[in-house]
Amino acid sequence: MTIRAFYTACLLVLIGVGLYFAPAGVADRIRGTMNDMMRPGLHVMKIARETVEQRFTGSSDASNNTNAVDRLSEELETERELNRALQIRMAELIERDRPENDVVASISKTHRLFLPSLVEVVVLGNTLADEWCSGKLIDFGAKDGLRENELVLASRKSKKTLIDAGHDAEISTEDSLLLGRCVIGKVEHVGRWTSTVQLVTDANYRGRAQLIRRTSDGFVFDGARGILRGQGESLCKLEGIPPDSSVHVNDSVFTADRAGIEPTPLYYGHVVHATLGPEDREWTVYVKPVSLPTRLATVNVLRMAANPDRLAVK
Amino acid sequence: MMWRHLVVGCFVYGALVVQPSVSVNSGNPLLCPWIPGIALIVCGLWLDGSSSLIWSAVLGLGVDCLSGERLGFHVVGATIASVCMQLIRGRSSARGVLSIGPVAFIAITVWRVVSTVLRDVVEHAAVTSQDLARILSECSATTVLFVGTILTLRILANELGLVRDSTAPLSNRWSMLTES
Repeated sequence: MTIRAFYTACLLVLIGVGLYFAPAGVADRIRGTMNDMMRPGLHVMKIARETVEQRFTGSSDASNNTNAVDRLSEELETERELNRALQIRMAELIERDRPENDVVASISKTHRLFLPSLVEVVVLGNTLADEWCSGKLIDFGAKDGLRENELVLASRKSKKTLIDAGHDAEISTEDSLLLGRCVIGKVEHVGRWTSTVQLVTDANYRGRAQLIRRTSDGFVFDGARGILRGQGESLCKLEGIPPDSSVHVNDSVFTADRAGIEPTPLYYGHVVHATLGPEDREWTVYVKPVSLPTRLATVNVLRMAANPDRLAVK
Repeated sequence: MMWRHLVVGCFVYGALVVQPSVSVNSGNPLLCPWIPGIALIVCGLWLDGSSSLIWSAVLGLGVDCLSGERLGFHVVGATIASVCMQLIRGRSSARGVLSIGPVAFIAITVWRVVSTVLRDVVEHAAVTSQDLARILSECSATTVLFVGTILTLRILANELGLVRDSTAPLSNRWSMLTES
């Protein structure tokens, strides 16, 4: 370090000390001058900082967008489930209104001895049914042998639904009661001219059923069969589904005809609740059957009849 | 020689305008580099003697004006730090990048400590260990930043072939001149 540099250093230190003791006006003037000189650079730095912050804020917006996408995906999945349920409901309504001829059209040329056939019956109103059971509507009295079956009369007393077909229409016990292509019950007691029916939701209703899942590739049946039991309320219970079966909400429940008489499985309803506890020996499945109209006027009874082609004398 | 003053002036100006942004946006105050310290090192490396001292004092004055405190503390601190740096470089023959690191650390620390102690003594405030720890951490971060930048630039220069080989012996130069 040279002498000149040493003296310069001492001078600068003295200047620094002098600035400390400088009057406030002088110090402020010096400070203002320096700040004015640095103002353009500070302004440029401010712009650069804001630009960088905007770029990083855009990245956080991207992450926010990702969260929004995840949320919207979940909402989309929920809407798809709802849409699927509505499609099932619509299919139920369509099936209910389908002409009954479709049920037997496919088996008209089969070689079977007993063929299923449909007969449309009228559901008697309460007033008419009561008068019928009391014998008021028959000109001939009981002494003429024209009196309704006691079982029908007894079950009518418990307010069971009455239909206007009995033995005269070749109705049999356990014949399925259909609304379109959906099973809504079965015949309980058959009288001479009338019969009582048991709806699917009645407490004593029992019917063989199977689970069929509707997929994009069509219907899938994995072998889960059980007994559909009415509980006297809006939901039925499907019992006997083994724990190794796969049961999902919105699975379709169809009839499982052990005798093989029915041409195709008939629709009961769909699963609304399915649980399997760790110690359960079967699934706990609740089924919502096809909803009935407010006023049930006519229904179809699926009965068995002999194939005339087989009985024809050659 | 004038271009050196121009470059140093740009470094001084740039350090003064960058430091407020760095101090505001730093996540960890203990790891915030002190940019005027880098400008002080540049002044000491590129200029010698009185020129280096004057630019250091100007740098100190700028820091005083930005700090909002009374003028003079950083002028004195920067001047003393520049003197120390010239003394250390004068006694040491090493010129490598890594040898500049300790010099830089000492110079920046001297500046910060002198200015802080002067202010605390004049204002009758206690110099706490926390202040010293903060100063040391800032000086360390500044030194690391400076050395890392120099190394990076040196590597890039080597890759690009911009570094002239200064190890050629004098005798070889005569040979290069005489041989066809």
